[in-house]
Amino acid sequence: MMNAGHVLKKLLFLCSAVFILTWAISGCGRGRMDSDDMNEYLPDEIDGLKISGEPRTYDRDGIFRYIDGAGEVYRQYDYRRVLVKQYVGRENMAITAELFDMGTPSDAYGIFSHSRETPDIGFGQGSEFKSGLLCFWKNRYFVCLYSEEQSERTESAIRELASQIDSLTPAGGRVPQIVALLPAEGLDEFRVRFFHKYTSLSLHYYLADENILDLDETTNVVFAQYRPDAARILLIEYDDPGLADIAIGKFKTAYIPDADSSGMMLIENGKWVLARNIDRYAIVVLDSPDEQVAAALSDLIAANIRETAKEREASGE
Amino acid sequence: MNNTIITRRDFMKGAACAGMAATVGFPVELSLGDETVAKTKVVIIRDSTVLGGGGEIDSAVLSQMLDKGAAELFDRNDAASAWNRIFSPDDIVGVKSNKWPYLPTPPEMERAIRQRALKSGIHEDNISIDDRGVRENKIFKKATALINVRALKYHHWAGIGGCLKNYIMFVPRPEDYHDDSCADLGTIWKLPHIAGKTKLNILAMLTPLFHGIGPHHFDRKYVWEYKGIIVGTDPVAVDAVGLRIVEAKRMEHFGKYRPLAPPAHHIRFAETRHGVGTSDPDKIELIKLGWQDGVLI
Repeated sequence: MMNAGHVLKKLLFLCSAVFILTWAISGCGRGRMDSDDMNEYLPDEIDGLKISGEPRTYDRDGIFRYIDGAGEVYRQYDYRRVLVKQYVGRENMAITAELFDMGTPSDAYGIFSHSRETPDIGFGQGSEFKSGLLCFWKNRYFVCLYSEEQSERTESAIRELASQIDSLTPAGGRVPQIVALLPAEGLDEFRVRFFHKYTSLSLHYYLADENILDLDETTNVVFAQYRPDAARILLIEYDDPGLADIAIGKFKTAYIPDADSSGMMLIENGKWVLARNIDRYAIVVLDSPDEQVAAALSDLIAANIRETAKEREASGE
Repeated sequence: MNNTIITRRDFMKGAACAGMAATVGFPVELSLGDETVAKTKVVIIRDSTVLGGGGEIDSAVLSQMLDKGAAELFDRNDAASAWNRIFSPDDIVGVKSNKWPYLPTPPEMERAIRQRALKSGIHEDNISIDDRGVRENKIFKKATALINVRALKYHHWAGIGGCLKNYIMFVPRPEDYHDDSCADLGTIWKLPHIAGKTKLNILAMLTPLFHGIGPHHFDRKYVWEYKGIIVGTDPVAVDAVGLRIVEAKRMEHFGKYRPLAPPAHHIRFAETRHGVGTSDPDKIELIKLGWQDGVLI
């Protein structure tokens, strides 16, 4: 006969096993819950459209099975997974819906900003519709809806589906704080890109074949274009002021070694480049038509950085 | 300036060589003077009738284009002897295709290649056409001859998806080759199970993609009917020619120079770092056959 201690041990073992099994079946906790949530955000049926086939999910490593090597664009952010549903409607209408979990609202905004070109159309926290493709971001999700057929009826159906997804997806998060540091005047709002890594910068603007600004997953970067002369601002937030200082030094050495004491230099294309750091930020102005524009943009950003720091200090952040 | 880093300014200075230009696509003339260099032959074949009004491919015309290209490439008077130059009857043939759903290798092209392999005396059981399954494919595992065929497309990570990139499925973890916009794809071509086996590279340029938007970077708006194919034995040279056509189309479409983002520098690096071919236009003998309207190169 077993003694009481032995029975207790067996019971504890059994309870642990049941707990672990339940946890495993539920998808190791939060991850599975997220997938379930995502499934709910893409409805199985709306008026005139219903899903066709099984929904598919591709995680961080599996994205290449769905988007080819260009899936790396998503992996430059905190991309977790994408849920794909195919919808069919009357007269062979077919619409694909993709819900990307980008990990954070900042990165959902980032991937949305990556190729934005047109005015907002009122979905989520930022949206656009171009060439039959509707995209919006909300919370940490990036949604894309499209159809091979580009017609009034598919556009109408896509907009209706977008509206449903928007209403089902919880709100949350905001545009990365660094974007608010950009001076508003002259900013081309469709040319504001947010990302982290040097590879992403190269997708928008080839600067050098090496990472001369020490960009990585810990940096927040906004790259923006200004009207009317297409001056560009590269604003980078580092973890601490020391890293920003080192990065600007590296940039000057590699790109504008003959810059004056203010970090300004006229380069071969007749445009001005300015580089400086303030607090934990690096500010680089590229393609400026003259010194005054470069200095003014840089000064406005510096003022915004100081103002934000004051506000944070006052609020106790 | 730090001499080891190539920056945007280097291109502005005009000091860059043609190879460097390929990094960002800046057009740079390179003169080799009177120096005689061995050139790599690349053949473009175009036919205005290869596509019907609805975009359907005329298999017969496409097959003729392929035959003309093979004959020209190998300096043969007829297609049959050219294909016999490519294949031996005892070859085991893997046709590396591409199944990207938006712009796959045309099935008509795959069929034409299979037919020519059969006509060269190769047993049907020794021919396989595959893309993503090549690593597990029994024919590919023991292949003695590879044919590399795909449609040319703008690629949002590598600049363009051409012949070089098409071999990425031969490695167990393609993502290991994604660094720096796939800069070192050329190394794949030196792997033991690949090196020296490719008999022909074919870029299907019937409807190339010159720009991309959206999650899959595809939009029919940026596809045009070029109605051509590019053939060569050197994948680097074939891609370099394809890249120039895509860049010319972008210039024509956008009305201004709009460099590929990211740059297709894996083509240059395949030559300069890995020595698997020639990207320098002055070292490529380009033959243009057939329809010349809008050839762009």
